[in-house]
Amino acid sequence: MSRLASACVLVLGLAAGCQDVVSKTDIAYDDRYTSTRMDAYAPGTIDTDELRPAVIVIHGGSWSTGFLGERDTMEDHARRLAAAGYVAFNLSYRLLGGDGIEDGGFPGTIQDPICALAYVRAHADEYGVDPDRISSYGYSAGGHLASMLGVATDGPLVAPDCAAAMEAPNNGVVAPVVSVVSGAGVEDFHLLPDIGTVRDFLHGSCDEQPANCDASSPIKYVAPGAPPFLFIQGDEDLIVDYDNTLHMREALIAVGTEARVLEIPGGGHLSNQTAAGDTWDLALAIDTPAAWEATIDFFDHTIGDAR
Amino acid sequence: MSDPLLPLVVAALRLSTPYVPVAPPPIVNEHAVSFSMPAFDGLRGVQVQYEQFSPARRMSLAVSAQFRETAIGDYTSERGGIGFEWRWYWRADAWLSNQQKGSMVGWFLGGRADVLVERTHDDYDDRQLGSTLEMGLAARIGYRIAPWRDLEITPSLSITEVVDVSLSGRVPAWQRSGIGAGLTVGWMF
Repeated sequence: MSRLASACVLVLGLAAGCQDVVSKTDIAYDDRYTSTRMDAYAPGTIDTDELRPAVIVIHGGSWSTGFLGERDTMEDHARRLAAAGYVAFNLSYRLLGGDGIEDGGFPGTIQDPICALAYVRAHADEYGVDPDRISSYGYSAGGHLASMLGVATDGPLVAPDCAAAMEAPNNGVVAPVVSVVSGAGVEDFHLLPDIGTVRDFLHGSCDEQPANCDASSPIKYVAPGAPPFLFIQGDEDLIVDYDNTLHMREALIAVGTEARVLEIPGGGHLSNQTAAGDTWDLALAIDTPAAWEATIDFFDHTIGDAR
Repeated sequence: MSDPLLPLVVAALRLSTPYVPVAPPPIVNEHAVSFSMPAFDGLRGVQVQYEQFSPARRMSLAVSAQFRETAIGDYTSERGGIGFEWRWYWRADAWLSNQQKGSMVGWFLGGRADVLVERTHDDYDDRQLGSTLEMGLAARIGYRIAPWRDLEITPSLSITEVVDVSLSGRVPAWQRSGIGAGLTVGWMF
């Protein structure tokens, strides 16, 4: 029984929004790799005459294989978004530590979500998606990639070369998403410590690979016309410094873009309080009740109420 | 036939028997008031708990109330609610404790239920987004120490199951499992 269904049973059907979610799994958005797969979740039925807004869901996990580095970790989020009326696409992408050509890092790990966005647009009618109403949503490394979908899809160093992207209108340049929810996302690689994961991702430190460092940092792409952003992060995050959120927000506001922040006081990268107030819980900042209220409202506001 | 000397013999025997005082039952603290350290986190909330202990059963019942600001920035979210907890201190004795055996210290197993309401406001557009009813169940293991006088410090680990129901109806109802680490500090009396 899904968490949605069991929750609905637990509240004896009193809650609104208890509708079925259907899924189509293991969709290859780039045939060249085994990592580039995604699952689609939709409310009620997956192909419909009524085009719905969509959300690209991107997992975190330090861009690496292993703990949290799988799209399964975001399945609940995709299902809940679908239950709210959106078509949600939950991605896998190439990760650091992958075998051979599956190995991620700059630029492949950034190219893959852009490729997935192009694929969703190219196959929008198959999934009942309005190609002009697609947002991105991710946490940690996934928040970074969600932000890149908002500002960097035309970046020359990260332009994907997959079939869907090459066939995109406008000479193969993939248009950005309409809005972004970035949870504890890396927005500026210059703010990260010089640790192994960062060096692996950039193929060196920011000092050694300044072009890769800049090309991987969403904040370097901010320009007038950037889409609205909602940032969600705990202010005691020890993994991704909260300054990532604050600096990116300031940069967006400076170019006239709507940029909101939902700050969770006392929240960490993986620890946030849920129901029992006397515990620190293993929970993402984007998975608190306030974050969900703000996220759904933000998507309703930017890509349309999907009910 | 009664012996007229019998009362005198009984009285003499009683006087010759040494007095042995009967030890009174141990007096242990049966109450505690505790504050949750995670609730204080960020200086945005408070949770206070009253616990009543039954020494004979080595069990306690607790009731708690909490209030916490759960989001700031361009949003404001506030959470308030109550919780109930049952605990069994199976040894009722602890290392690093100056409480006597039979007190509400040491290892315990517990079960907890919380009911809370969280209200979220969009400060950016100055409008109310909605409220969420949160219902949580937790199973818990912990270890209470009392290192100084009646001060208690209680770390614990919990597995939790939480159901969120948006009272506005826009956010789908959801159920989440999780694990949590707790820490309370309080005073027994």
